Parts: sequence; C-alpha cells; structure tokens
Amino acid sequence: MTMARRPDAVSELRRGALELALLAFLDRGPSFSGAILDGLAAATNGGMALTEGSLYPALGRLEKNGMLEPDWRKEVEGRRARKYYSLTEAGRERLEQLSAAWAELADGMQKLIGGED
Amino acid sequence: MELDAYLKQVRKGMRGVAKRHKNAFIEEVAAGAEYRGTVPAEDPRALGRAMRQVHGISMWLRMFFWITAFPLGLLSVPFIEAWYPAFPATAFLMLATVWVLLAAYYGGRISGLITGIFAALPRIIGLILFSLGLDLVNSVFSGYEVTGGILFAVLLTSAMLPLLGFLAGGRIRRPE
Repeated sequence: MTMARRPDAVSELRRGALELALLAFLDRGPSFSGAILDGLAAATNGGMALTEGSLYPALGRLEKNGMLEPDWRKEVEGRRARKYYSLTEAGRERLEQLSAAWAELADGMQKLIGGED
Repeated sequence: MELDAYLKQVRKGMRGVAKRHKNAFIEEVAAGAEYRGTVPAEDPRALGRAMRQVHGISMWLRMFFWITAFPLGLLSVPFIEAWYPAFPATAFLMLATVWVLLAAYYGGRISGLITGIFAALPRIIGLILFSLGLDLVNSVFSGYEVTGGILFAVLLTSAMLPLLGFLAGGRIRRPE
C-alpha cells in the first residue's frame, strides 16, 4: 500500500492551479494529452510544465466530473486515434468561478508580497 | 522502455478497473506517446494506480469484495467457539479486517464501508441472537460463558469493520 509523498510547496501551488490551467487551456479549443502537455508548458513559459503522471489523472477527474467532453478522432491514416477534450457548459462555469477566485487570490497575494497596504 | 512494455505495466497498475476504462486509457497513452515520440517518463505502474484512483474498481470486483466479506464475517463470530472450542474465529476476524482494508485500498471509502458492513452483519446477527438467549446459552454450553463484556467486545469489533473501511479508503487512496 503506497502512502502519499509529502510534496514541496511549489508542487502544491502548481497542483492547486492545475484544474484552472487545464480548463483555461482547453477554453482556447479542444486538444489531446500530448498537445496539452506541450501547449500548456509553452503558454505558461514553463510555469505549468506537467508530467503525464499529473496530467492524465487530472483530465480523468475533470471528465468524470462532467467538466470535459471526450471525443476520439482519427486524424491521420495509419496513426492511432487521439482523445480530444473540450469544455462542457459545466466546465465553462467552473472556469469562470476559478478564474475569479484566482484573480482575487493573486491580487491579494501580490499586495501582501509587495508590501502594499 | 518500449511502448508495448510500458503499456503492459500501466495495465498492471490499473488492475481491477473496468475494462472499458482500462482500454481507453491505454489507447490514450499510446496515442500521446506516438505524438511526442517517446514513452512517458512517469513510472507506468504509478500512472496506472493514479488512474485507478480516478475510475475506481469495476462493479464486479466491488461485489466480489462485498459477497466474500459476509462468510468471512460469519466465520469470525466468536460464539462458534461454543460448539467448536478450537475454531479460529479470531483468525477469521483478522482475515476479514485485511479483506476490508483491501477493499478500501482498491475501491475507496464507499467500497471499504460496504465491505465492512457485509463483514459486520453476521457478527451483529450473532450478537443479537446470543444477547437474547444469553441465559439459555450459558446453561446449554457449560464450558463456554458469554458475559456482557464479551458481547460488548463483539459489538465494538463489529462496528470497527465498516468504520475502518471508510477511514482507510480515504487515507490510503489519497492522490499522489
């Protein structure tokens, strides 16, 4: 039986932002796992460089919770079909909620760190 | 590691998950590896286990845990020792506890809870029957005395089984 490893603070921050990052990325358009890994890292200047170990379970949870809609597409003959994810209506609502919460949190933290009153 | 060998390990990590989830995920990982031109750096079994946490175990496996828990619980009823003094009821109680923990590990809180209930049920039934006929039991089985303390211990250990399954399901399946 495996017990969870204690993650460091930076990993914790990333993990907290993972759901928002995935929803925001997929709000740009449907995508599949490989492209999400590369695209998310590029879009955040490496800030959200994920591994498959965190991406796949996160996508799985979002899909299970009805935030994402999967669609298998075979784009190139002779290649494997890819599982594209797109936002559902519930996913969009969740994105709005998380974006608002993130903006509030980031603003507050910036004030705190920057020493503003 | 070759892709096929990697996928085989992922599949092993997902042991117990419904086939349709397993096959779909294997196909997704394979397509991702094809796109990126490399197998994931992640430990394949850990990846499979993480996905098992997402999908849980199949309904068949859940039912297997539940159904098997009942006879284990039945054999752990200590009052059987009134008829067969050498009967290892305590060993069966330990076995039932391990079974509940396994169900919690593979299936999570609810699976652990239900398996615990199935294991506790025959113990509770035995407890009620013996409580109702306590005087009769003590007079029939002269060498076996059932006291209020024993009944309380049986009640406590029985209640512990579903509780343990519920708590363990949340603790040991925490996402990594």
